[in-house]
Amino acid sequence: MDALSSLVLRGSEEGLRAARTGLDAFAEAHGLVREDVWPFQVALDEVLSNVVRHGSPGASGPARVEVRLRLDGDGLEMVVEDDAPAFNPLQAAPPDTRSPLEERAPGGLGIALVRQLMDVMEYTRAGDRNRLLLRRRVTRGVEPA
Amino acid sequence: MEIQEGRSGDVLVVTPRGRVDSTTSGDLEQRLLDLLGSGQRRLVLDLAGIEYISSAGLRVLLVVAKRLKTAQGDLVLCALTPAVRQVFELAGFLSIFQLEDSREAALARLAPPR
Repeated sequence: MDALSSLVLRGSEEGLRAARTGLDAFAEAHGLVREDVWPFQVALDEVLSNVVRHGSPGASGPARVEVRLRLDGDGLEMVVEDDAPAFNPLQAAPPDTRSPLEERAPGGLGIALVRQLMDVMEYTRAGDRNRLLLRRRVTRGVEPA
Repeated sequence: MEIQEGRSGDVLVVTPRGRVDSTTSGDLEQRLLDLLGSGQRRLVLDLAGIEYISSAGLRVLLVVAKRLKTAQGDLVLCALTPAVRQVFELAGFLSIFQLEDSREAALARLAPPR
């Protein structure tokens, strides 16, 4: 059976911490091994810190964010939905990963990392919401109780 | 984030532990820039205790490496965990840092020539 978890939080520093704790708890509850979890921990940090930085949908304060985790046969799926201004990470410019140290700029690295770490990355703008679906195969150490 | 420090001659070995992400990278940046500000020019960063690093952490390493290069200092990173190594590889960081497998090898690399 699929394992599901859903978290609703604000696009703020505090919300990001709560999301991290939620992901850790989900991973522990389902016996996921560290090698399978860290790519999602990195992805969560990249995606939510972006929402925290750019995410206020207007005068109403930080964005409202929902993070859903789903573990099925062979993969972990993380869907992040937010009401921040439209942002399609698949259209972001690729970062510079070849030049010497002096010329390196850190811009764009986060999204490029997520894209490379995940097997699937899909973006949808639905109404006033961004929806990002991330998926990656997991080895899954232990079966859920 | 917990950051340990130890000295070996004029080389300072800095050992951060835990996650280097958008929440914790500020602590690491502050500590490393303070060390540079106090005149430290030769650093080993031991990454054995790092669970994962996100782009916020990569940015800190980039800032510190550039400053040290300008100041003609030396920075060697060592003991990268598989998670950290993979992120370095994807970000193209393996080619811009001096890397060693162990702290001993990192210190040997910074030892004065005989």
